Formats: sequence, C-alpha cells, structure tokens
Amino acid sequence: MSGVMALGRLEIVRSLRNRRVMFFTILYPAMLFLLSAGSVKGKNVPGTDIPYVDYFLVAYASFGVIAASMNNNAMRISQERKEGWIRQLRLTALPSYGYVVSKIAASLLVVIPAIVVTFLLGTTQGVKLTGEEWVSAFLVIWLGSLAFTALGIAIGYGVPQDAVQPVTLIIYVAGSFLGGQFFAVSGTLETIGKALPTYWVREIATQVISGQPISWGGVAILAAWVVGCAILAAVMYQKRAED
Amino acid sequence: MSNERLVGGPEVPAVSFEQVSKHYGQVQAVRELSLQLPQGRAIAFLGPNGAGKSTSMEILLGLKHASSGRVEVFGKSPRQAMTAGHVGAMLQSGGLPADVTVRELLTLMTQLHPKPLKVDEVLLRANIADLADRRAGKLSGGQTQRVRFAIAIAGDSDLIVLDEPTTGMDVENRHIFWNSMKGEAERGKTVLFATHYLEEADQIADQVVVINKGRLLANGSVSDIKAMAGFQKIAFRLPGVTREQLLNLPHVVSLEVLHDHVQIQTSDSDKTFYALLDQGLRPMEIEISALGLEQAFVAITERDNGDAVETTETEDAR
Repeated sequence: MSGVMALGRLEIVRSLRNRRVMFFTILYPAMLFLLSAGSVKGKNVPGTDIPYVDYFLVAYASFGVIAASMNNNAMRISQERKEGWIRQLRLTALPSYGYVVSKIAASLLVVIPAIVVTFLLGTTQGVKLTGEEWVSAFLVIWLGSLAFTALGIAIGYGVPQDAVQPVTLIIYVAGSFLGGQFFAVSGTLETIGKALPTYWVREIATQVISGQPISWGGVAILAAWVVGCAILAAVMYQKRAED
Repeated sequence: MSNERLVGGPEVPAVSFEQVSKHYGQVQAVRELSLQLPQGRAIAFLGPNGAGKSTSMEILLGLKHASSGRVEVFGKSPRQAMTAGHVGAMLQSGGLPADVTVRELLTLMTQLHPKPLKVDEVLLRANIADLADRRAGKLSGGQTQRVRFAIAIAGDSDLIVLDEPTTGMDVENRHIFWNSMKGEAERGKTVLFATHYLEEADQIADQVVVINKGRLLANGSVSDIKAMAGFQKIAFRLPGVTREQLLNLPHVVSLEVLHDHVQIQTSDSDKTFYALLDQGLRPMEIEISALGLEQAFVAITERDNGDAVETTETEDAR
C-alpha cells in the first residue's frame, strides 16, 4: 500500500505543478463564476426562489471539478500509456491496481481547491449559507467527482490516443452545457441533462444549499455513473493490459 | 561474485524457459524456446531484428503471457518475482513523466520496491548525480537512457533486464554506460541485456544467447559462439597477388583482395594456409584468428536462415 501512496503523492505534485490543469481547475471556473455572479445580482433562478448567485456557485465549483477529475485523468492516462510509463510501473512491485487507485486518490485531493476557491469567492459575491450547507455542498460535489474521475480513466484507456483530446473536450463542454453548469437548463435540454452526472452533481448540491428535498433518483443516477464508469475503466484496463 | 546474493541457492536458475511459444494471430514470435540462465552472470541476448528478443523479455517480465510453455524467474512466476523485488528492468520504450525531477522519479522507484537502494546510491551507480534536479522532460536522449537504467537498478533487484540499453547513445556515453552495467554484474547481479552492438556483448557478457526467428540458436560463452561459427580468418600482405591465384585454395568461404592485402574466411585455416604455401606463395604480415563475435553472429544466423529456406521449400514440395 505504501507504493500506491507514494505514487499518489507524486500524482498530486504533478497536477499542482501543471499550469494547464490549474487553469482549467481553478482559474477558469473562478473567472466565469465572478462574471456570471456579477450579472445576476439579486435575481433568482426563473421559477424558483433560489438566488442565481447560489446556483452559479455550485455550477462553477462542479465545472472546475469536472476538468480536474475527468480531463486531467483522461489526457494523462492516454499520454502515459503512449509513453510507456504505465509499462514501466508494471516493472515494479506496485500491485496491478496501484496505478488506477493512485489516480483516484490523487483526484480526490486535486479537486478540493477547485471547490474551495469558488466557495471563497462566493462569500464575496453575497452567497450566504449555514456551515452545514457549505459542508454538504462540498461533500456532494467532492464525492460526485468520482463519477468524472472514473469516466476520465475509461476515456484514457478506451479511446485511441490521438482522439482523446477532442473526445474529452466534447464531453466536457457538452456535459457541462446540458448539466446546467453555464446557465439553468429547461425543456428538452434539461430532459437530456437529467441522464448525466454533470446535471445531478450540480442539482443535488443546489438542493442541499436551498433547503429542498434531495432527489434520491438523481443520487441513484449519479451512483450508476460512478459504478458504470468504474466497470468500464476496469474492462478497458484489462483489455490494455498487454499494451 | 558473492554467493550470499543468490536467490534460493545457486541451483535455482535466474530465468528458466521451458518450451515457451508466443504467437500473435498467425505470427509466431517465439517458438518452443527452452533456456536456463544461471544466476550471477552477465548474459547478452543477441538476435537480428524481429528474432523475438523483446517478446521473450516481455514474457519473462510478466508484461506478456506465453501462448504455451512455462516461464520461471528464480523459481517463481514472472509476476511473483517482480512483486518480490527480484527483477528490475529497462525496456526500449519507457517514457518518463516530463514534469518530475530525476530525484523525484528515483525516490518513487525506490518506494515501489521492497528492498531498494538509497536514492543517492542509485544516482551514483548510474552516474547521473549531476542530473538529480533536472526535470525528466529536459534530458537528452543519452541522459534519459541513463536515468532509465537508474530506474532498473533502484530496487537493488537480483536480475536486471535491459532491452537494447545503449541504442542511440554516442560512443562516450556508451562506454560510461557499460561501466555501470559491469558494476552491477560485479556486485553479483544477473544482468540480462539485449543488444545490437556485438562489441557490447563481447565487452560485458560472460554468456551469450543467440535467438533467430523465435528459436534458440546458440547459448554459450563468447568464444563458444565464435567457435560455433566454425570459421577462421587469414589475413596477409602479398605484393602483386591476384584474386585468380587464390581462387582454388581449399576450404575458402570468402575471399577479399584489396591491393596487396588479402582476407580469407575459411572453415579450416591450417589446410588453406598450407595450400597457399604449396603454391609457392610467400605472404607477409600473416594473421590467423577466429572470427570476431560480429562475424560469427552473422555467420550462424545466416546459416540458420539458409536452413530455414530449405525447410520451407521441402514443406512446399510436399
């Protein structure tokens, strides 16, 4: 297990050192949050009594989390497969699951600043939540990141190297669009969005900070994404074992 | 060589292949390869491109599974041997993450082995102390190779497997690298390396394994391999000599005449040379020697390829 931790530690160092990762994880969502929050001061999400600022708080925190967990893992795994780094790791005493476990563990830490920075900015934009609400929202987004990490791992292993970047970007942008990360979706867009983890991470986190009942159906869909992607990632990992 | 390093006693081979085959669809990469490599030696693994060297190495490292046959490393399965820390390896491709320093990388590698060396010791042995704080992405090709060698020895493993470790290195770097390899062998490690540079095998190896077309062709000391080729070389100077004068000499395999200098490859140097004298020729600066490893290697693989062509033809005829 110490080997897995050692690798996880290095994974974290590498992510924090990577300017592209830090930009898409922290800076970009934070900027978008400030811009959006400024334009909706005092307004509520149409048809609800949820302040639009609260909505964007959760939306952009989760947007950063998607980049940190899905994009980062997909691109890095695909790169490391190509370079032969994964093979090199298989020539050590590291257990075969060690690589993937260290990626998951590192992701759980790397997404934290994405959430915390947006939350801190939120307090400057008039978001007022109880301590319990802050913590619950954090936990929902944080645990929800597992779905994107698993998806990123599956893409990294399953998609051919040269297609990984476009595929990831399309899923990142389309998933965030339909999930309501950029603005509140309705109608057909929302119907499609309700099948996606981007939608439910944001929706459930919004529910816990606005005193609404939690949609357990949504929790189930989110859990199904985590499990489904984890299985897909495991299958892809096996398939690529002799690469 | 210290015997205390031997794993499970000297009678346990470092590597044992029994009737190992590996095919990819129709392509037979390794054919019924049986081979035992003793502990504590430097062993060169020779063969032309596509001979099955890399595949055999990947099988013994547990990266690929044999289609049939049995592979043991120190009496264990390849994966068990790896997990027990018996094996360190450097493959042909093995990219390093560009964004970490050499020291960070080696620290990680020591943490991934059960009984590692100290990082500073690894840096020293691989001759890369000056690179410790460089990012892996900023290294030259030769430097990267040396760092990858450091990774292979970081676990203080009993068997070190190197697949064409000096490919792309300049002569100076290659010689530095050979010293590191020799150092590991002198510490009693089993060093198994595939190479294209026969000088490398000649310099470092106690034992040479030659494979061709996935089969074992020869396994012995460097001088065994040279003897196996069965040819010797006669070289001399003879002013005014012509090719025609030498064509009827017995046992000649090949003949080269360049100005006054003659080189003959022969299957019986004594008889060829006596016949030369019997013709009344009196050559000067005579050298009679065994073939170099390179020529021996070419001779035995070519002979094998020739045989194979005949075999295929007989098969076609049936």
